[in-house]
Amino acid sequence: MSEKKEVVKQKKSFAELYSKYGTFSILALVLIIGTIASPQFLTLDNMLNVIRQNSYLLIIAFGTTFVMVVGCINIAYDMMLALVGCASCLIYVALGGNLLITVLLSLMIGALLGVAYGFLVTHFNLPPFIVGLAISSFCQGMTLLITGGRSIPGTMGTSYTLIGQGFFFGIPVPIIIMFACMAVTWVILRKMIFGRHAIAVGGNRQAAIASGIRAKRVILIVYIMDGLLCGLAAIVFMSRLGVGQPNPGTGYGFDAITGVNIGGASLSGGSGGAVGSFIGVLIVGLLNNIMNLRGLSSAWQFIIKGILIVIAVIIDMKTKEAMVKGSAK
Amino acid sequence: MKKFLALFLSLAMALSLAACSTSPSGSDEETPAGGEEESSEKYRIAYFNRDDADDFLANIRDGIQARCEAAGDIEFTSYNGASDSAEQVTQIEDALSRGVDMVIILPQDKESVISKVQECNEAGIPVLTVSVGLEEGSGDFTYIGTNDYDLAYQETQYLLEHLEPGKKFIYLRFTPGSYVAAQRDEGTLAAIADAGREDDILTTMEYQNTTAAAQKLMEDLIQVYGDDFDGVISHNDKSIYGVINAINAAQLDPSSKVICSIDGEVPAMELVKSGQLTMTVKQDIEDMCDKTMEAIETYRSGGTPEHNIYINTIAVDASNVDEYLT
Repeated sequence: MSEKKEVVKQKKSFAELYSKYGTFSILALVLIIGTIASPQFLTLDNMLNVIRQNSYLLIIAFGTTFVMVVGCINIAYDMMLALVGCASCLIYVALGGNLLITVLLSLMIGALLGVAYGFLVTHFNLPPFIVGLAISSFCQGMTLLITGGRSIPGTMGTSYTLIGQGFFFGIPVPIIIMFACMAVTWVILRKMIFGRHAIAVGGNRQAAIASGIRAKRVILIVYIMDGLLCGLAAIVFMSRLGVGQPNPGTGYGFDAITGVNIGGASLSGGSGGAVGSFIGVLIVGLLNNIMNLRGLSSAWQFIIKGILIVIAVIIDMKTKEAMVKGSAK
Repeated sequence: MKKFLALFLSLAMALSLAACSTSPSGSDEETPAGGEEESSEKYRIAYFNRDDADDFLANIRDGIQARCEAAGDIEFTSYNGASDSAEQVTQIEDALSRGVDMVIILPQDKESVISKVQECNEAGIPVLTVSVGLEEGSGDFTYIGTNDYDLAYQETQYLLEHLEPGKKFIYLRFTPGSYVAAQRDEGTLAAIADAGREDDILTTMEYQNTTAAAQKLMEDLIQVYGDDFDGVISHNDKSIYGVINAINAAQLDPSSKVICSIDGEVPAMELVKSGQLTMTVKQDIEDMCDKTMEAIETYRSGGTPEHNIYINTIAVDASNVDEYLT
């Protein structure tokens, strides 16, 4: 009996250690692997390159962090990115290059998509996954409708591309925007009552409601913030590409969710933070970077990425299992 | 607040319904060009596009649709395969069960549609494939377009002619898995082998068919090779936008390098005009649409067009870009 208790205790202490230092340990491991794999890896240029490449993913990830903290999910990021990004290019061209109004209107579209997502989840109690499919389909249709399936010319080499390609005192603009979003996310989750409410709703919704927290309102606001951040990411993304594309690709949402999960946010809610999400997404980005620097074929890149995701999720699940068992004993 | 949300969602649903029912370009669902009551009198053509969210493919679809509508007695219905082979096969099945007089396919992949081509053959429905052909023995069909092998060969030949022997270039190719990827890869490799320039390849990398993926890849390659490359060859315009963005972001000069691509999209020709892209092989879409229409008319009049009808390809570079950039 006491042996069993000892095993549980050991498991719990590993789980506690992992929850505190696991993400940092993985980051350190990736940095060591990268340094061994390529002499170009651990240089300031390359590190800035990786953060810049992943800045829009990180902005999405901060929105994902909010959503995952309350125990929900958004699976419509790819299509939201396409719709808001293309809309921003069209608005920019239509307004004759007024960047400020373009950004404001685009953020508004992102926020409205967040309103729709949150409203459907909270008002009709629809599963977030199903709502994500519907929003995704809606965004895909709208993108095709407004673009006619064509790239949007007229933004290349204009002020629009400054957001994704410009520099401010030598620092890439998307990195500055990303860190600003990270700071806001950190402050909301760690220093504001709303953040504590969000964590409470994700940890135990019934208990949160019983203690007077308006859970539905919290979830709705979280989705609006998620939509806003996705809207901002879309502008950074299209500006980086330099041209509005109705089919910019898929997998961005998946990468963001994976990164946030590696960074310590649980899919069942109640945990997660800006710093963890930043490191989690960075780990995914660094792995991609190492594989490109090593010249690995796409086949091996897919295989390695798939294996790492499974390992990360298994560690996450086992850690939480051990924590729960430990607490129960 | 609730009323506002309800109003917003109602509007969203109305817009999405409108998108499905009135799209002029056949964006997501089928979009008949003629009215329901007229359909029995008209010649019904079902057009299966690989992906509507692709400039090049959307232009082909629109060009053929415009010519069919101009004919006056053709009902043109377009389907969006959204880059999904299974979806495309389902759409063909649905259209056949509704009844059509002709099928035009821009296949996502060659194998998955073979059985449907054969079903059409058995039912006596003529089949055209545009832009992407099918293997010999896949059934009776007429192919109108370029040969992807030849396109890539032409592109690579141009690069090698404009890059002195010994100068190094980066070769970016599609992630394997589609017929187009395989053919263009073979074409490029054959041109390099024929010129005996295998040693001039600095590196060969694969990218998913998006600007973002190509841009990320090129940024990483610049970390490895810096400015030690003199040319880049890539298999479509979408990727070349990413390549040029990455070169510019690294504060290198794209105009000092030989950069070649395929498709001849408007933004690519703008890059040729600005000197950042050396050449893009333009597939003459107008020629493709004209020849498709001729093949349709041949079938309608009881004849059989040639099995393979090839269209013009044009190397658009600084010398002739103004002719095509209107």
